[in-house]
Amino acid sequence: MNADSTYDSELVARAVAQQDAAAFGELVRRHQSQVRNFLRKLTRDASLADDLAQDCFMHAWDKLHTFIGRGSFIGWLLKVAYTTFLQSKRKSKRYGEILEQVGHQDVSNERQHMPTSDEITDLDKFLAVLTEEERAVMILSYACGLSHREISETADLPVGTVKSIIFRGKEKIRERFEISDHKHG
Amino acid sequence: MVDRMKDTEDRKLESLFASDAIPDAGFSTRIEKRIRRQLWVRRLALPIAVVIGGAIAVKPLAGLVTSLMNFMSVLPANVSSNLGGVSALNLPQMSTIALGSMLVVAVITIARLFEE
Repeated sequence: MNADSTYDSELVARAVAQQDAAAFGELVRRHQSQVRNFLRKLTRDASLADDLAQDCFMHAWDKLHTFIGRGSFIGWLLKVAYTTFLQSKRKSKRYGEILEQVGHQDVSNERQHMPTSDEITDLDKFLAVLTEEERAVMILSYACGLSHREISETADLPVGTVKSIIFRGKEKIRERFEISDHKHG
Repeated sequence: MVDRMKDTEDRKLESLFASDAIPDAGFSTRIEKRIRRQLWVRRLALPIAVVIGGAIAVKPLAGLVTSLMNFMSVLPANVSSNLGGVSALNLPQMSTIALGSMLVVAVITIARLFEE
């Protein structure tokens, strides 16, 4: 366990034992960028991602006592973020279905920010050819730098499945694109 | 943690997925504020519930006490003495119950404030 993880564990212990909001605030400061980046890549909508990140940290605060220090804190936090993302998708889908039932147009994707052609990066194009699950796994692997084992815990998938998803994702990308001279996403 | 060998393609993908750190810009402060607010609400919830519950319970409780007092007063003296000498005068009055409840609420609230 490195110094960063030890400090994270100390902050978690303080936040749980003393209901210390300042200790949790420090955890948020340390990890907000990675969580927000993960959600921004997943949703491709900065404001929606930031709303989800806020919800994610509130859920994390409520469930902090369930973090038992097995694995990294950021891995655990990204799992909460991914669950928050999936829940919000389910809710907006359900909301869209209800609106449809009462005769309204589906507005579940109303907030989805559609990038203009100038804003579309190579990453957008890559992510567009992947399924949602593949996208999440690829982001966790290549953007967040998690190991296969950490991804399997975060996405609740067996390690073998994670490996095959990454393999499949890379194949899809290889089939369609030459990975060189890209615009960052 | 790395549990795999990275090839050129992996490194290219990593650089493609790389992005600049997002500045905090008050994000963590907003979360901290929401948490402090939530903590306050949770701390106040029990005392408020006790006060509301007490306010609702005062009237039926007072009725019960009054009925008991009436019941004790109509009991024959020998039955009354068999009950261990309990008489209407020994039963707590409504004002005492109300005062006691308020005292309990005040003690709980002060204890929670001290705890914080």
